[in-house]
Amino acid sequence: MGTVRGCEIPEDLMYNVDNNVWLRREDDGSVTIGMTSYACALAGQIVSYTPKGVGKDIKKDKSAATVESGKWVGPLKSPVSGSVVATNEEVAKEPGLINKDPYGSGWVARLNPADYAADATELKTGGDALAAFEEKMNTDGFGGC
Amino acid sequence: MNAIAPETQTLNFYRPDYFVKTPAMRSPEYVQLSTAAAITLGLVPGVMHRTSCTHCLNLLMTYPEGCRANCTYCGLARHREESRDYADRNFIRVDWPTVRVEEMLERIAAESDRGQFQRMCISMITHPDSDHDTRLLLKRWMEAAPHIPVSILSNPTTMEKEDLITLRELGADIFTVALDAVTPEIFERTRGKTVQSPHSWEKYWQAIEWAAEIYGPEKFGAHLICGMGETEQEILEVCQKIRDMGGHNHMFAFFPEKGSMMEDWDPVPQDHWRRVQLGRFLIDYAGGRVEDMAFDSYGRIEDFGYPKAELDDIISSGKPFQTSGCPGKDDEEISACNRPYGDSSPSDIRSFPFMLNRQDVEVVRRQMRLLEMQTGK
Repeated sequence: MGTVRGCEIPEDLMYNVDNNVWLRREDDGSVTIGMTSYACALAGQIVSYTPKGVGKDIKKDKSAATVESGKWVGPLKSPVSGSVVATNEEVAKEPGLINKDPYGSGWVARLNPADYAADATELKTGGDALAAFEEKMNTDGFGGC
Repeated sequence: MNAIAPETQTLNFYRPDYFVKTPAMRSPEYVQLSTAAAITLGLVPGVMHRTSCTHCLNLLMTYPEGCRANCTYCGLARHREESRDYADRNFIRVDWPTVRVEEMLERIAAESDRGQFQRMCISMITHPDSDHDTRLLLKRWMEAAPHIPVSILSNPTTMEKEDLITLRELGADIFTVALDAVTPEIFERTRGKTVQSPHSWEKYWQAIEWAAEIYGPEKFGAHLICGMGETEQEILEVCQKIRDMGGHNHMFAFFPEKGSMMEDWDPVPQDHWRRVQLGRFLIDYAGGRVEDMAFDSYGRIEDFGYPKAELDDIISSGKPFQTSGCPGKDDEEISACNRPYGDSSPSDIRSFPFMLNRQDVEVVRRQMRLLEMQTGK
């Protein structure tokens, strides 16, 4: 498990660093996406989760779900284009799961990607991702998780 | 940042965490501060919707025994002591971290707020030590950061007139009273003996009268909560009374605080709230008078009694719909105490903590027309 300024950043995942989202390719070709622990630290305790419905087509960098904390509301921007194949019913019941387990049970949406090979070229992973997050945190003036 | 330090070390900061033993922290060595203030001071990471900071450092006196009052709408109420330690209780929708006062003052001296704080406010609570410790904290603040003016959000129940004078002499700039409930009946059933709380309507009004006398025009005010069962007419009549005494009205939308006795109530409806916000602004800053307003049989505003073109300009400015409270240094009609999302979620804003843009004003206009759309008038 990689760590940047106290924030867990698993090195086996893919990231859109600017949008602070992670992506995991599943065996069936679908992708699971969610908020990074860094994004969770900035947002605070998530209290509301409103995903786009199953079957909805989403363009890359557009909202796959709206999440809300006490003082912030915003989109989780999908790192790839695709159609929604699943939303997280457990998170719908308990949005705070996103904070508790952002890379596991707190996943936000599952999509069937339209052109994974093309979209994935813009994502970072491994040491490149850690370095990019360090740079982003530095730019943002972020003290740490 | 660690939630809890080893007992041998000085604890500088505690972020509410229900899974650790809450440290014993008490004023005047420690104070709680709002989440927005903690973000602005760099004590906790965080982002806020469409705003990056608060301009008022809101502090709350803190004691492990907690507030001894039992107000039905408040997250700090005494009835919660069995379920949650005081320093872990939510208040106006969010957690309030605890900081050692000297740590906070060092951060102020180092300009960790990047010059954002235009005011500091000490919120007293109902506790035997609160009056004394408020004086100590105020004195310490005036030694360390006299360039940032101080407001006192008082607890009149334990105060006498001499206490207001002493605070004024120690440097308090504005004195406010959290009346909250605007009729004697609502006050009694939310804050009085009915709910085993010690406050009385008469004592609160006495404190407002003392504040008017001691602090003078523009230097005192009252906190009012809209949506606890009063009519629009009733709350605006109180606004007019405060204004006629020389004070200002700091208005909050009722929001059902989780864990409070009123957590199952609905928030104040948007159309109701917007009309009251506008009425309050007209009374406080635009020469409007409640006697000139027209109300229907339910006490709802039908006419603001104000020239239409000018009223339209005031609505377009967006100012009436921003958070109301003690002023900052730029515009006395705009509160430094912007309390981001203290009375609503950021997705359905009641009090805007930032200047409204044209699209925001259009949303507000639609919300104000909700009643006429529903009734077909």
